[in-house]
Amino acid sequence: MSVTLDYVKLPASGYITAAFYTPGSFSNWKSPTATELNAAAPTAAQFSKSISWNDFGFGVQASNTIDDPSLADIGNVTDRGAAQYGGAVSYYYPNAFDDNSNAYSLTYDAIGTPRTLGYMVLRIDGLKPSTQVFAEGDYIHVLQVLSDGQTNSITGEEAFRYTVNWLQKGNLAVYTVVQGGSDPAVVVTGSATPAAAAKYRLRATVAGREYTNGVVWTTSAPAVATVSSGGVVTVLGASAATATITATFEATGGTDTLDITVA
Amino acid sequence: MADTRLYRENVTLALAFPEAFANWEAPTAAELNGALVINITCALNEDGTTFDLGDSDTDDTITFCQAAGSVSPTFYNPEVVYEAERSTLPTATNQANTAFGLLAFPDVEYFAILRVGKDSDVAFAVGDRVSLVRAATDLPVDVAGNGENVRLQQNFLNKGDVNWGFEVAA
Repeated sequence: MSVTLDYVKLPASGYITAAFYTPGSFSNWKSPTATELNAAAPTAAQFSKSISWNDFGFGVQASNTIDDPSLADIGNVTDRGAAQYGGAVSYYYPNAFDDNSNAYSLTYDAIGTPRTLGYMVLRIDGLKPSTQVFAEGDYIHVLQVLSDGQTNSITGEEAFRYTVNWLQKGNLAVYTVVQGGSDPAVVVTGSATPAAAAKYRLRATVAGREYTNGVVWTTSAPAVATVSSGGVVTVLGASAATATITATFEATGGTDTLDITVA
Repeated sequence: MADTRLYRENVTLALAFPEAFANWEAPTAAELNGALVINITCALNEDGTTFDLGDSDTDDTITFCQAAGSVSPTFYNPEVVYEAERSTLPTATNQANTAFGLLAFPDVEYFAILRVGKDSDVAFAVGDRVSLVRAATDLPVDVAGNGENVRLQQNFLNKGDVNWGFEVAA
């Protein structure tokens, strides 16, 4: 029996925004503000327009893995190692250099010199074309990069392009949340009066977006209630015992709490 | 029953928070149908999703009583990758956004669940054949190409526990 999907799949073409920012563009690169993101030159729309799908191979990849189990580990246990990101982005050459009315020229001025350091920002978040400015609550990647080698595609009938290999420089925030004028609000929801021995999930939003697995969960009283990285509370205490569950958006340090009392 | 084979639309893929099970080696149908087990089958792209058991690590040493060449498997090597479609409406309530919320952030531990043999919208029941693999999320990988839909790939990290092909008990 076929099931009708309850969503429409997001097409890639036209709905990926890329932008480049020089070091110092953000007061907090882990959660830039919309104002900071929209102040780029070239704009995100211009920068995205300058990128060809051909030879596009930039983004976050699977992390290195660490095989270093303890004596207590049973079976094949693997941990997450260093993040891996970067890759190739191919840009159109401008018809005329130093032409501030030409997106390709502005992009070339920004990143055409090898070993340019900065942040690449990617937005893949619903039907938001690159011409749509960044807004509070957008999900973005912020990836610190350094441009390295360039490969020229300057033959044949296609528009001339230069493909830049972007090296990772260590700082990355994956699916972080764009701030508005102030730190984005963290809001925790869920039962505050669980039954003894209950196991249930709290939810957290950041700037109004679902972010339960992205926040850091902690408990004030592990003997009363534990909370997992997925927001799952396990009640261990007896009736009337209390604990405070805290969700922290690490990018800004913003928190929200929920006081629970065992019913 | 005639010799009929099983065909598509008879797979269920889900993620369970480890707290869902009192004993992950013998999950009950009630636990598998509980709120801490989340069915995301309809969000997963079948070309990019794998749920396999690779060859085990082996110990090739033998005792004086074993035949030459006897091999003992040691660790199971499950290989679980979920690749979820993205939704055009990122704040809507739908399976794609549910999957995104579960898969987009690193270091969250689950049991990945595979059931073969029934539609994904059929509740778990006694007798179902199910596999569980304890795994943690890595950083997500965006998969995108011109003319394609965007997907989010999660290459799970093994966390040791494997319960492969068990029959759900009461």
